[in-house]
Amino acid sequence: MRAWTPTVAIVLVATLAAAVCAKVHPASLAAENPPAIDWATAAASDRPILWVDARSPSQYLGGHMPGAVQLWEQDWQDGLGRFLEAWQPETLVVVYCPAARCHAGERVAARIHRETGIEALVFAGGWEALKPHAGNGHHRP
Amino acid sequence: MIPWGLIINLGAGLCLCGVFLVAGVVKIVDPVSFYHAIRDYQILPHVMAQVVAWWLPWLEVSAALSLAMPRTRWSAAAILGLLSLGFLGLNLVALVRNTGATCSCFGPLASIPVGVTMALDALLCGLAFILLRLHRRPPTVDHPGEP
Repeated sequence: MRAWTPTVAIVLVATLAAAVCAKVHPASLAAENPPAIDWATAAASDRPILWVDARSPSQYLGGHMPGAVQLWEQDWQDGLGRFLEAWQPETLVVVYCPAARCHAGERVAARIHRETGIEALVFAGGWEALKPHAGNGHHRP
Repeated sequence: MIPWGLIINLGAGLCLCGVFLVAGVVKIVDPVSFYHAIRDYQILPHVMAQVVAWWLPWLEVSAALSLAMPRTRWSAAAILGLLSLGFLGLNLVALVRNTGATCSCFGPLASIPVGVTMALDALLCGLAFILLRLHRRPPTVDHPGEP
């Protein structure tokens, strides 16, 4: 029984410290998980959509949603400037990354919200799911 | 006569302690980056990733500091060894699944490719194993001297 006492003590100390840290730390992780939106919901929305492309410049140049603002994490300041120029209060901001399982969209949407206060949604499915809609005239639902 | 046992013990302990202490502290300072690094691995959902982002750095720090105390050294080495083994497994999964995740072991200090991280994890595992071999496990009975 006593063999486990130091192990339990170390884990307990870490757990208590983490609990206190989560309470007092200025960062909030709860806000780091922006809501997602799919094509059907986006199409049903009566608000104009501002698409934000979180992919790399080469991927963006290879094809993107018409009117999409490129906001890549490695070139954040320039991209944020372009985003703020394009943003209007009535627009619905939707971020997409290459695929459904990529996480860049969440990171960019959370960072937009953290730094500007503007709520951004993540497009579920990413560019892979958006691509068929990019050139058929339904890009501004 | 060179006290190799003492040198190896001290060297392994200092390396393990230093690496995990730095790794833990930078993640405590910037939990947001660590949270996103966890999510990049595409294994844990949002809530679990939050819990791990708050808890894991403190476990690394408390175990690293516990290496300095003789009474807790064996347990600390066991925890750090298990953590290294876990990281090795996670990075292997990331490599196989090609998620593009990079290790955020040292937070914003360095972004290390998965392959290099796996080598580092294996090294840390080895160091923890050396410490486990050099130090006796705590007694498993309450009164070992009594019949």
